[in-house]
Order: sequence, then structure tokens, then C-alpha cells
Amino acid sequence: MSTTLTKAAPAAPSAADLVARMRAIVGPDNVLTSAADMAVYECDGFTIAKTKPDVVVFPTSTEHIVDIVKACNELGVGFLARGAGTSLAGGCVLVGGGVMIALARMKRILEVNVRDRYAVVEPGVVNVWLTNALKPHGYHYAPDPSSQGACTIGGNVATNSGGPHTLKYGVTVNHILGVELVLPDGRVVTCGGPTEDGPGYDLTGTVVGSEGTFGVVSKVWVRLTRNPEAYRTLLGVFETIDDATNTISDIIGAGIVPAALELLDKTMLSAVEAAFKFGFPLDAEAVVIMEVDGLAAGLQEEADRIEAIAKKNKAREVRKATTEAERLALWKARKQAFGTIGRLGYPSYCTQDGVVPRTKLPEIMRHIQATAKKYALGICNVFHAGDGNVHPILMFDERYPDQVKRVLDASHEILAECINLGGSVTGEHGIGVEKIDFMPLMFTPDDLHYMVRLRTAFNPDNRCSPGKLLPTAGGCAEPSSSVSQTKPGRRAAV
Amino acid sequence: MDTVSIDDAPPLPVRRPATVADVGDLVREARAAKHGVYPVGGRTTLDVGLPPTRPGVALDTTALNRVIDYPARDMTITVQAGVTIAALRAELAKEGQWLPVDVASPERATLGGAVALNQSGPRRYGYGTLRDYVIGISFVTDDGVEVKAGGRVVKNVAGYDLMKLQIGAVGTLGVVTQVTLKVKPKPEASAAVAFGCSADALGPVLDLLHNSKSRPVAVEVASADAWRAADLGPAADAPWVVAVGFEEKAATVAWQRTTLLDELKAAPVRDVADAPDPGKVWAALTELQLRPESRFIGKAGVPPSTVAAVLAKSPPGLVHAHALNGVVWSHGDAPADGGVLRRCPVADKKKLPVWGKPPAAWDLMRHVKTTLDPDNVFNPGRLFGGV
Repeated sequence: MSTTLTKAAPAAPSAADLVARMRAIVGPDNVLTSAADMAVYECDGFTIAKTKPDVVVFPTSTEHIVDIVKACNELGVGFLARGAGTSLAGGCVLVGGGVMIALARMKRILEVNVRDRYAVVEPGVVNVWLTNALKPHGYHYAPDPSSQGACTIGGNVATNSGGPHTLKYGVTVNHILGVELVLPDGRVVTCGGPTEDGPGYDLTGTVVGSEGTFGVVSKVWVRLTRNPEAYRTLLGVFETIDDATNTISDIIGAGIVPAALELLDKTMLSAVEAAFKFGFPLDAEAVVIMEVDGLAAGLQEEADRIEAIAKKNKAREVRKATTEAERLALWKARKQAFGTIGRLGYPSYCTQDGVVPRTKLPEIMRHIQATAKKYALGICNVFHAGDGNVHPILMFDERYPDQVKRVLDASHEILAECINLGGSVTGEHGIGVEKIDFMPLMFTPDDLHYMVRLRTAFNPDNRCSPGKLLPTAGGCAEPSSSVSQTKPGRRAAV
Repeated sequence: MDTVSIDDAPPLPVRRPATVADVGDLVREARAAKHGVYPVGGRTTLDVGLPPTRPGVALDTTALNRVIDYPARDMTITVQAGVTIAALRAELAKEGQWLPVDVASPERATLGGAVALNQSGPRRYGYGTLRDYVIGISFVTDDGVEVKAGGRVVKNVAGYDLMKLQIGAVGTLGVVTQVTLKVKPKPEASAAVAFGCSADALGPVLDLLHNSKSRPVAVEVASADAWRAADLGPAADAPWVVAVGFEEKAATVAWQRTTLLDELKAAPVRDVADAPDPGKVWAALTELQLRPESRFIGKAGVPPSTVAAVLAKSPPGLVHAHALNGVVWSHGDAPADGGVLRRCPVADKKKLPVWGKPPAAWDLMRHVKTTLDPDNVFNPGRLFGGV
């Protein structure tokens, strides 16, 4: 059974028509068109794949989004919703050009209802704003990606984002109760909402993580989580990566569910230390941030058990955050680690996002080190070890095509090994354009065909976030017009 | 020959495939014959939903009951969907782990059935529901092929989340054959505190529990009738019984119990007592979902802040609620207002809104169904009616 994919209208509209239509909808102040502006919106954190949109438009209401989407359909151009552009797999690349719907100006928190444990937000609300707004109530929004100071709730919904604390609290989808969705044909539908157990399909859960391919999310109902009463935050210092990963495996194996287990390797530590002067040991091969949270009663015993496990695994030292300020400084160093990579002397880096069963961490870390050697690349590591979610950071200079090629080849080998070890090529960043090649390695043609069928139910013309997540038509012969076939990133490299 | 009767439809012959390939063959045969495939597991909830609208077969999944992979230190398990909840629990218990989701009649109920109806119980307040635990799924589609989504790792965003699509889909989107679950270590200790409460005091008491310094995993309200029907002993001399549960490290449970008892000292409650076997309280309240004597069983999702008011308005009798989730169950000889009718005499199914007021996205759901199962092979009629 084949899927029909309607092509864009044959006569492409002139750029001037498109811009005029958008200005009429949102007003001239909410439209960007200059070449310099388009360059800002040509990619996300995956800087290897780039496509300039024809126009960037900033809706401020659901009605605006509806009108924009309808105009795109009339004119036969593609469109894509964008939050803060912090994603790392090219999810914000508008393949084939068209209208970039930037949701940054839909940034109101519409309702906070602590007694019923939900909030309603517009998609452009920055993740940490919500948690800040909830502070007086003693609640927070649990998913906390490292980019939470910039990334938006709408973007988190698109990619089903994670973060350091997903180990205990779950990922984005576990905290989303409902969405208002502008379907790719312009209809508005509300899925889910603040009350639980509505009848029928969990479309909310299906939309989360669909990378914008089911429509534009214009409103989100999120679950609120009570703040833990107390934390114990430890820093284990290890002479070898194996000792660190064995510690992690033993903590999980002991039936402890920490709030976070984050590993930073030696190279990463040197960059973070240069930036933050936190006092990290520069001669250790790895440190692990180990945090437990919850009620104060019994928490110290749990921290003591973790310390004992680390020491049994030859931790050189286990440091403790003794004040809230120390704890926050440690987390600041962790969450802003990516921003310090510039200190290592490379102009560009590519952050990978593989997952392995947590007991396979020693294997994958050894594989990453061997791959770095094989391709003569600098690779540093800072990642969500408790979830088995590795983030090797491959450093390079994108002016040298040979380096780009080595980065892509090394990434491919690492991700293929993640699959080989029983894992996945993405834990939280998404498939985007970057990892489409891997989908046939993780899924059968039947699996992919079914996913295309599901997309067809929402997005029959594939005009909304085209060229994402699924190989073209799940194996059916749909010529790809804009993204190169085997390595999307190579287009930018050559 | 074994048959299954669903409502007043002609009895369906039962087929019990031994392999996934056999499931595929059965689906293809049924589709070619324009018949329906009605997946059944432990047959504990056959009366949920609308009557079948086509002849066909009852596809019994209980022969698909193997444990595929249980890497206990990764805290995941992959099992075939026909495994009973009790067998799954026993397997996990060997490693001191569990799936913290309450399911009624666990000796008979299968995991596939629990997924189809998104079963849950009192512990959902502390642990969430199946959508928080199912990380991988395989199912046979209308083409008779097995497809999968997700995987076997706890974090994975590759591809669409078909796990969510299947949970609560009432078996209308395929035959679920295999499920991978994220599991948890069994808590070290547990406690449950129960007390009586007047109708007037119920609202303020639930507010108190919402704000309690303790962090309960379950906050249940049951009418005195419901408490007795669950065989939980004589109810306090009060119209409502509230039961609060804790599961955690021993020291944490002890502190929470003491803290709650302190908080309750000034509250308008009576006969505060520890339940000797907390697990039994949650299991018994879960079992009410299948209470044989109830002609009608309704289930409604309401804002948690309104639970006391909703209960006050409900006819006196057998009602209970997962109070801080806003999920209210009501039993009786007449249908409750609002929500879904989880049980309804077949004659009334033709007149009453069995699935409640259609949600805003009902048309989109129907469109998803017709896109993914255009010939309406799976459970025809039972969710969307009429077709």
C-alpha cells in the first residue's frame, strides 16, 4: 500500500506575494525577510545542515497561526514551527524553504492552577520561566533540559525533551496533559486537557515528540510537580571512566532511584573549570554528579549508600554540596557545560545523542574513546549517565571539509554501536534531518510505513515540517528534493 | 468450541494463536472476509464499550505469554502482551522490582488488556499510569504485519510514540503482541492511614491532603458503602472513608505517617487508624472497578478540586474516587451523570452515551482510526459505535 504525497502547487508563489500575505496576517513588525535575518533561522544547534526560510513570521495568537497555515496551503509552500532553535538534530531546518513560524512572541503563561496541578502556557514560554513562576507555590515544571534558560515549552513538546532530572521525573511527555494543535490544514483541535482519563486515543501523547510533523502546537497544558523538600548532591571523582560507569550501574542496581546521575569526562572538566572555576579536579578521568531528592527523612541514608557504592568502585573522593549555593553552582557548571566548549579551541562542535541500556555504559564509553582515536578527533563527554543517554561532543572546524567528514563518520559509528548495544540513536534531541538515515537501522520498512500512515492522518500533504523524522515515504519512492540522500549534513559540508 | 459473547452480538468463535505469525494470518483472513477481530485477554472487561457491529473472531492473546527479555539491572522488561498481570508481577518480584500500576483481577487480566483500557488504580497519584511505563510496543496492524515503536531503553525519541497511541485505544488499532516496560524497585516500606469524614468536611480534608507535608502515593475516598463492598471492614460511623498511602524507604514512610497523623489532629475527621495491609486496601479498591453486582459503573475525570462537590451531588450509594487525580467511580442501578460508562446493560447502550460526551478531538480520533484501519478490522463498533 503506497502513500500519496501531494506535491507543492506547481507554480511557486513569488517571494513578494508570500511576504505580503504574511504581513497582512501579523502586521509588518512581525515579519522578517532580510538575508541577514534569514541566516539566523537557517539552522538550529545542529549547524551542519542549513536551509534559509523564505520568510520568518511571528504570530501572537492561535488565529494568526491558523491564517498563516491556511495561506501556506493556498500558496503551496512548506511551513515549520520554531521555538528557540536550541534543538540539536536539525528539527528547525525548514527543508525546501517556505514559512518559518517563530513562536517566540507567544510567551504568556495563561493559567496556573496549583490545586489541580496544571498550568496552561503558550508555546513560546521559555522552560525556566514557568518554573520561576511556580516558585512561590512550591511547585516546578519537572523536565529541565540543559538549555532550559532558552528553550521553549513548545519546542520541548516537539522533541519530547529530557534533561538531567528525567531519571526520576520522566521526560516531557510524562508532564504534558493536553495540547491545542493547529492542524496542517488550519483546523484547530484540542487534545486532552486538565482532567484525566478522557475517552479515546491519547493524541496528546502521540503529538509530543512528533517533531512538528502533526501540526503547530499553539497552547499546552502541563503537569506541575511539587518541589522536593530536600536534596543531597554528591560529586564522585574517579580515576577511570569504567569506575564511574560501574558506580552508576551499581546505584541503579541497588534499587536507588536518584534524581540525577550526570557524568563529565576529563576534557569536559577542563573546559568547565576554565569557565566557572568551580574547583573540579583536573586530573580525574571522570566526575559524576549524583543527586537524590525528596523528603528529608531518610534522604541522608540514601546519600550515604550512594557514597559507599562510589567508594567501593574506587572513587578517589566523594564531595558533597553542603549549601544550596554550592548545589546550584554545581548544576550551573553542568547545565552550561556546552557553552564552555569554545575554551577547548575548536570553532564548532557536534553533540551526539545516543542511548544504551544503562549496564552497557562501560562498553559505549570505551567505543567512543576508540572512535575518537580512530578518526583523530577531539571528543568530550557530558551526559545523563543514569538513563544511559550519552552525549559525545565531537569538536572540529567546519572550514575543513575533511574534518566535517570525519565528524560525520565518527558520529555514525558511535550511533551504530548504540543500536548494536540495544539502544537508540536519540534519547532527547530527536531525529530531525540529522538522523533520518538511522531510522531504517532501528525500524523495519513495515514499522516506517505505519509511521508514515499515522503522519498522513495529520499531515497528508507533508507540508508541515517536511523532510523530518521519517525517511521519505517510509521506503516508497518519493524523491527527496532538498535534503541529500545519505548524509543530510554533507550538503552543508561540500 | 470456545466462544466469547460480547453484549448481545452473536457469540464469537475464539482463536488462540500460538505465534505472532498466526496473529497476522488471522488478521489477514478476517480482513479479507470483511470480518472483525476482537482481541481478548483475561476477558475481565468484555462489557466495556459498545456492542460489536460485525461478525468475526475473538482473538485470544493468552498463548502469547512469554518473557522475552528481563535485564533487571537495566530496570526494563520485555514481555508478550498475553502475560497476566499476576505472572508479570511474580517475574518482577524475583528481582525486587515491580510495575506500580494497579490492575483489577490480576490473576486473569493480561498486560495487553490493561494497555488497551489504560487500567489504573489508587497508586496513580504517586506513580502515574501505563503511559509513564510503556517504552516499547509491538502490534499486528490491519495488514497482518507486526510493527513496533519505541525500544528497550528508558529514554528514546526515535520515531512516533505509538505506545501512547495504543494505550487506551480499546484494541481498535491492532493486536498488541509485545510490550517493553520501564520498571521500578519495590519500595522498602508502606503504610496506609484510613479515617472517617463527614460530607461537609470532605472538601477541606482533601485540600489538607493536597497540601500535606507528606507525599502520599494514593489518596482515596470511598463512600461507606464502597468501603464495605471492598470488604475493607466496617466503615467508620461517617459517610466517607479516606485512605492515604505511603510507599518509600522505611524512615521516609514512618516520618510521613507521623506527619499526617499530626496534621489530622486538628482536622474534622474521626476514627483514624492504620490499615494493617496497605497493599490489600489498594487492591480491594481497584477490584471495585469490576464489581459484579453493579448494573452501571461510571468513571469520570473531573478537576481534583471539585471531587468533594461531585461526590456530594452523586446519589448516595457506592462511589469512590482517586481523589487528587479527580477520577470518580460510581456504581448503581442508574447511570451516573458525565464521564464514561464502564459498565452498562446492553439495552441501555443503544440510548446512553457509553463513552461520555465526545471529547473535542473525537473527529480527529475517528480520522486516525479510519486512516490506520480503513476496513475497520479491529474491535469494530466498540469505541466509535455504529460503523
